[in-house]
Amino acid sequence: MKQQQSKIFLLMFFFLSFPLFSQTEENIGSSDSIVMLLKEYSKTKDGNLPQKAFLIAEQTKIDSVLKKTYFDFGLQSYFNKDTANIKLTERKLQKLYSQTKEPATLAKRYYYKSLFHKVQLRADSAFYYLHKSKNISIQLKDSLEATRRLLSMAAIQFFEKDFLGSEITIIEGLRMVEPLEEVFFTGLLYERLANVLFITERQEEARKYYLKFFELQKRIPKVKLKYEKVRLNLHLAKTYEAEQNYTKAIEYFRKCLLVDSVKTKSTYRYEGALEGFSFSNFMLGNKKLALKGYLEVLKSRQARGHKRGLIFSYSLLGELYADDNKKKKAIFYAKKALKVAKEIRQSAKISENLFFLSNLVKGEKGRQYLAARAMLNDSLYKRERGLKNQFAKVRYETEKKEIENRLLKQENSRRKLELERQRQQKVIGWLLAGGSLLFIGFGASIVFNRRKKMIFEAKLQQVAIREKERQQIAKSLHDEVAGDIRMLHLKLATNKHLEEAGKLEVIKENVRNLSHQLSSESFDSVTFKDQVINLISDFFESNIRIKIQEIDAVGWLKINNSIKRTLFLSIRESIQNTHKHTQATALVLEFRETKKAVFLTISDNGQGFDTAVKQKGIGLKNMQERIEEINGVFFIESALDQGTTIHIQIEKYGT
Amino acid sequence: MAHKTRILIADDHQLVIQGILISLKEVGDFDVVTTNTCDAAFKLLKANQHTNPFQILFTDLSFDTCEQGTELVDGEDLIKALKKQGVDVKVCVITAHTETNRVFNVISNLNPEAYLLKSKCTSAEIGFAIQKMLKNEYYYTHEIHEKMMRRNIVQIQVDDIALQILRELPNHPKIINLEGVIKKSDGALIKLRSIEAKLANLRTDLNANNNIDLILKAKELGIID
Repeated sequence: MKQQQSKIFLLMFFFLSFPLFSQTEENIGSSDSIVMLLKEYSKTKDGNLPQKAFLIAEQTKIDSVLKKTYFDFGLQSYFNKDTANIKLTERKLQKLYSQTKEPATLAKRYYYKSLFHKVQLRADSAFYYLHKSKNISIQLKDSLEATRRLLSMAAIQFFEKDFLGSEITIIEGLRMVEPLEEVFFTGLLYERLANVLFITERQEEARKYYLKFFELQKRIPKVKLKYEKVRLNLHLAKTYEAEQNYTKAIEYFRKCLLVDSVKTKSTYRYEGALEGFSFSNFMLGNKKLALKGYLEVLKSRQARGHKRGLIFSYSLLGELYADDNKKKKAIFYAKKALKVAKEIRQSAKISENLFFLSNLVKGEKGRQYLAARAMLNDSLYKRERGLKNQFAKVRYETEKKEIENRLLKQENSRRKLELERQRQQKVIGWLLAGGSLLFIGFGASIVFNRRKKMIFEAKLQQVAIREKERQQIAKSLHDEVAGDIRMLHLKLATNKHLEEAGKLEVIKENVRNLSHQLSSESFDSVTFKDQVINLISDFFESNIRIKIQEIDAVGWLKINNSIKRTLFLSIRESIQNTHKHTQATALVLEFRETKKAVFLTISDNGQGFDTAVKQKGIGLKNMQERIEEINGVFFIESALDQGTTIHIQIEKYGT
Repeated sequence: MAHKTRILIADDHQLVIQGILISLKEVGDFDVVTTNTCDAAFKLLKANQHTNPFQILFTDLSFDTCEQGTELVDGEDLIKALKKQGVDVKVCVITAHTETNRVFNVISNLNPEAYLLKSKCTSAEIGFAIQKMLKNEYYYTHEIHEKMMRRNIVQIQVDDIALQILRELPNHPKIINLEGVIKKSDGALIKLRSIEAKLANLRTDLNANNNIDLILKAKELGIID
């Protein structure tokens, strides 16, 4: 029981010390009026002031000013237990976050949300938001901020008696903060750790960490080491007290009490030290000294209105009187303690005093106390277990989430790989498809070209065959028809039918001409050029001067005979047309060759004709047909008095 | 009989053979053999080549070759075969063909000693042609001669280098001076040897005795101004 009491002292102590470190967050605001308002707010606790300050800050439109104002007033409203303004701050931060999307702001927002719950004594919710805030800070690699959250979390767990959880939290905090070489929060973590060790009966270790804490305190500037020494000794005293080494405890308590001005400057520590000193004396049987001490502490606490402390004072007094067999007084104090404990919902103390009272009060009343206590303990136990579970759950869920995240990450990277693989396969597929398409296209074009070429060659063949037929006809005309006519002519001549003979002569001449028209020489025996020259020489005596240009520019030997024949016939047709119809005095044959085609332009200076009006004659039509048959291009340009120009283009290989 | 000139006549028309025979009788005493196909003509010529060779061959160009297995289908084939086999015989083409292409083909490729046209031919002309041939000279009937002449003129007109030479020749006292003046269409200079060869060809083509005559003829024919 005494063990428990001493633990509770410490609880109280930490509640008191908590605002101390938070106080450091107070910085001097950039805007004077805001600073003024903050000061006024901390003094007057006027709930309208934060609103005003926020308005001023919002008008500056400077993010840093805005944030600082929110932080300062939020914290102050927490100290002032101004729930509405904590909520307001939290909302403001939420709004700010929605604008800036800064994770740091979100972390702060969660922090103030946790403060909001903490003020309303909802430990689990407060813990939950601290945890969230911490995780963001960790992600932002803001170790200090994370450490601060962890410290608060450890405190909450400690108060809710989740000592193991608290210890884990502290160690996490220490891991976080140690690389920073920071002293203030590191120290506080050591102190908190020592508290955990103290309460879980590991006093040796607790003392070690208290000393470590003190060593760090030494390195903090502006800290009044005198009082920090008091803080250390108080801690150490408690550890000895817990070990029931009351003499040693008294020694350390005395050290605290002997520091001058501690009574006025650090009242709560003075009270704690005096109470401890008295308690140890009481345990050593020094009851008078104990009573004196208790009463002084009670007086001091009553003066300050320190309710949590009052519970301790009343309880201890009750205990002392009970030990003295002064039942009435004992019941009086126990009831007082119970009342205050109920006021501030200090469940452990309620239970403790109920039990105490049940021992003091006999009969039905006593039994009722006991029953009430049993019920309370039950609910307390449940709550404690629930909270522990809650804390564990928050942590577990984070861990689970982390594992899930890790799994997701793995899954993601696996999926990415899969996607990459699929993408690669797709690319390969496309490449293959493209390749095969190209191949098919290539093949198709080859086939197509070959087909085209074959068709072309077939056409050329056709020209050659027709040529042969013409030859045959020419030969028949010459040898048979002309021969017969000659015989007939001879007969008629010998029989003196001169008129008929003359007519027959004309017919013979016509047949001969026709035969000549149809017959041709092979380009193998007479070259194309020579044949063209021969053709022109046939028109030598006409009035047209025929000029040949660049006939040597074409490699005639390599050009298919059917093409040459077509060109030759076209030239002959053109010359005949010009000769017969146009009264031209000049005709120019111009040859040209490219890699793929042969070009021939035949132009005269004759009268020309309107191509839109006059249809082509059968000669021109035949010419065009012949040319187009072997994939050639034929077109005629002419206008009245502008002469006529025929353009012929024949692809050498049909493509 | 050893001094008689041996003549072979090849023509598919018996009437024509008769006509030639009559004409030949009018102009001299010849040992004449006739045949209707080129293959037969070739055999005769070849067979008698060393023992009793023919001096002159009269042949048509077109033969009616309806028989299967004919090797030499026309006069050109026959002449070609003879040249190829080195059968030494003067060839007189006697035909109705006046198409420039065919005439040109026969004259330039087969180089017969004489070219007569059936329709215009007289006994006198046949005799004249025989005389010429026996003197190792050429005889083309007037129409063919003119045709070839015209053709030569056209050919010269088409030949830029020939035209250049003809134009430049009067401006230079010596042929050697033409070197460096005559250029190909791509600007390359023509060497003296080529110029001289060209000139020789031109003289032949235009029947000129010398270069001065050549220029005069070219001017006369309107090849140069």
